[in-house]
Amino acid sequence: MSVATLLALSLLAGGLFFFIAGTLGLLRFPDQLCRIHALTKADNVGLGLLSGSLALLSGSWAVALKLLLIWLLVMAAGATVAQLVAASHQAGREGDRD
Amino acid sequence: MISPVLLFDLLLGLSLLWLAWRTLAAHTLFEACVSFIVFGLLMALSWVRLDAPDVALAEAAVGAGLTGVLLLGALERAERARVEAAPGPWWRRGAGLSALLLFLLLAAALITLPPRPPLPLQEALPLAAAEHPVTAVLLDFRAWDTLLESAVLVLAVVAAWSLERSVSPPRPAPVCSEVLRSLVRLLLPFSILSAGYLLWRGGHAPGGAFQAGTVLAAAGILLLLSDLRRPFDLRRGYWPLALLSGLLLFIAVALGTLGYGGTALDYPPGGGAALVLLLELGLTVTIALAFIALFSSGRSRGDE
Repeated sequence: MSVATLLALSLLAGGLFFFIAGTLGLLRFPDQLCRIHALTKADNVGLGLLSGSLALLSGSWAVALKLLLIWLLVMAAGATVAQLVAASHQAGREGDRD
Repeated sequence: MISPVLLFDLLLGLSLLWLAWRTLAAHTLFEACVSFIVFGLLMALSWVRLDAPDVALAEAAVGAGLTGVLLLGALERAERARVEAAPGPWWRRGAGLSALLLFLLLAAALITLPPRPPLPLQEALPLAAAEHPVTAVLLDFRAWDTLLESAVLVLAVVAAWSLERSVSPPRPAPVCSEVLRSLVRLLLPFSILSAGYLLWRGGHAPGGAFQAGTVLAAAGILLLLSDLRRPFDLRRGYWPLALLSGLLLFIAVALGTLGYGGTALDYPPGGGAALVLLLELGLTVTIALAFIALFSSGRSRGDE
C-alpha cells in the first residue's frame, strides 16, 4: 500500500470519526445551540477530511480542485445556516419571555 | 456474503421507505416537510446509483430543493393565516386509499402492457440535434412534450397569481441577517456561472435547461429571502414577457420549422444544435422565473 493510499485512509477514518461524533451530538446533546455546535463540526472538519481523502484517492488535480470547491461552499452554507438557526432559536426564546 | 455496494443500496432503499412513512406519519406538518426534503435528497442519491445523473440533478434541485422551499413557504403562510392546515383523519384515509388505487392501476397497466421492442434510441442518436441522449429526447425526439411542459409551468404561475389574493395574508417583515446577505453576495456570481455552465453542458452531458433554470431560481429566491433586493412584482413591466419567453420561443420555432420543412419541431439539417441551444436558453429563463413567481406570489408587501 502506497503512502498516499495510507494517508487517504487515515483521513477517511478521521472524517468518519467527526461525522459520527457530530451525529451523536445531534442526537444526544440537550438543547438546540449545543446540537448546532456538534453538527457544524461534522460539516466543516468531517467533510474537509473526507474531501481530502477522496482527492488523494482520485489522483487527479481537476477532481481535487472540485472537491476543495465543494468543501468551501458547504462550509460557507453550513456556517450561515447554523447562524440562522441559532438566530431564529434566539428570537423564539425572546418571544417567549415577552 | 453481501457485497458492500449491495448493502449500501439496500440501506438506501430502506431509508427511502422509512422516510416516506415518516413524511406521512409525522406529528407536525413541519416535520413532514423536513422528512420530505430529506426523502428527495436520498431519492437523488438513488438516481445516481441507477446511473441517471440527469434525473438525480433534477430531483435534488426541484424535488428536494424548490419543492421543499415552496412547502415550507405554504406552511408558514397557512400558520400565519391560522388556516386549519392538517386535514382530518377521513381526508387522510381517502387520500391514502386513492394513492393506493392509482398505484395498483399503474402497476397493473405496466404488468399487462404488451412487450415492446427496445426503443431504437442508440441508432437514432446520430440523427439528433444533441449528443447527450437525454437532451436529444427532451428537445428533439419528444420536443412536443417539453413544449407542453413549459406551457404547464406557465399555467401553474397563472393559477398561483389568481389564487394569491384570496389565500394570502400580508407578509410580515422578513428576518434580515447580515450573515445571510454576505453568503448571498458570495454565492450569486457562482450561481449565475454554474447555471450558464449547466445550460451549455446540456448538449453533450448531463445538464440542461431544467437544472440551469433551477439554479437561477434558487439564486433569485435567496436574493428575495436576504432582502438584498426589494420584492418585485413579476406581473409588471417586461417580466411577464420574460416569463413567457421559453414558451414563445418554442412556439416560434415550431411554427418556423412547420413552414420550413412541413413538420413542426423537425429541425433543418445542420441547424438543430443551434435551435436546441436557443430553446434551452429560453426554457432556462422561463423555468427560473416561474419558480421565483411561485415562491414570491403573496410575498410582495402591499405598501411598496
